[in-house]
Amino acid sequence: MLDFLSNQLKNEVLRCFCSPYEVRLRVDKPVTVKGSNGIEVLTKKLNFTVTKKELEQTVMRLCNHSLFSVEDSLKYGFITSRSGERVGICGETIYSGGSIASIKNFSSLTIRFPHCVYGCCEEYAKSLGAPKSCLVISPPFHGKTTFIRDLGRYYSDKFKQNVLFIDERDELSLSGKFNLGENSDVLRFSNKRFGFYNGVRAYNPDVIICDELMTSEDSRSVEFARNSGVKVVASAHASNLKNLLKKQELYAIIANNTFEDIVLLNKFKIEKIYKEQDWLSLL
Amino acid sequence: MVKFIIGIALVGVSTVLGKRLTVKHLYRLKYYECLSRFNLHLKQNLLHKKEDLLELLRFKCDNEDFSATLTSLKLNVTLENDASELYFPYWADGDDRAFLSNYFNSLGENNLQAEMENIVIQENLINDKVLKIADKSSKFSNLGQRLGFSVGMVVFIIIL
Repeated sequence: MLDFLSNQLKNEVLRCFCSPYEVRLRVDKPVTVKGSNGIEVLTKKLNFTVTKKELEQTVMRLCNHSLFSVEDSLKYGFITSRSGERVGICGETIYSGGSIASIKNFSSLTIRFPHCVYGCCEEYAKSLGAPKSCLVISPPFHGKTTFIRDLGRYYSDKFKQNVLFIDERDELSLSGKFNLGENSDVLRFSNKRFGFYNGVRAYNPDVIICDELMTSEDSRSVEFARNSGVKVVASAHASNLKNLLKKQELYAIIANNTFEDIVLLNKFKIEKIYKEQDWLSLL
Repeated sequence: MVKFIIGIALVGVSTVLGKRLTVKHLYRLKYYECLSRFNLHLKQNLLHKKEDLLELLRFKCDNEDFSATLTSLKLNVTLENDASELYFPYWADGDDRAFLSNYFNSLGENNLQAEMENIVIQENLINDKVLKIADKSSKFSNLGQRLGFSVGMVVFIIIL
């Protein structure tokens, strides 16, 4: 854990919270750490700053001094560490051929730690007689990834379904460290298009799990899988159903009833489960 | 009789010494041949697996000096604040050190395309170096042996 930080910073962070949720490093500004004291989530500022050079060294250690090996994820603004931390990277974007090719002159890092909470989906899953297609929504940092991972494992183990995890950033499986169930397959570092289209053809799944639907391309991929008779569990950023429907990229798949349930999370707990009539009344 | 035996021994020793004085060219050749294979390994990695530098530094080579350089680079990459220095073999002169420093310090600093372009350039430079060193090695190795033998013979004649 946090092996890419300097020993001194790593010790400072872990002294603050032994199992932090988030660490933010900004050039010449105090490091902030978010974690839990067992009752609530707290944010603490450390008496520790990082220089630009230290931040760049951190990024180089993060990719084991091999920028080329993380190029595909770096152009989307993040690198996943060997131990599974997802590190969002800010800096200057480099364009090549009209699209973003990479990031340089790093200015800040946001380190997030994947958490696996076995049984966190059970309140929802136990009410199901059979696997359902479900979209999990919440603002960032409310437990979407943890929830869909657990739901996938539940479908695999309890409903004996063949579950395919499309793990774009290695956050769902953490290189096999997280138990995703006995009947699960994991496609790591694959984009959604490849995962859905080839997944349906090659892996014969009953259910496909993927994180963070964002683009129209993602929506089309989900639609393809659903029309092929495969259940889909996915997540998206939205604070409620109304805001979700304002997202043009996702509007069509909601309107087409691609999902049977939409689960709204708030601070790692289910706040509401929307059914078909809820979104149809808002369209 | 004693003079004859000493003379023969002197010829033998000076021939071996002459050869040893020029053996560094052979060591250099073997080192650069390993570097060439390592560079090819990097190129193949970029075309397919895209593994990171730490994985690539597990490259096996039968040259101790080259393995020591890779180990020092690995330490350099792993330790904080560049606490380890790159290992250079004893025969490495200023040019060798500059070339090897540039080569190893440039690894992993760029994106895929730039990395590949760099590796292709380095490939040409290394191949060029290997050819030159191989030529030098065969020339000097024979020359050193001959010179050693000649000096030994001269001393032998003087002794007699």
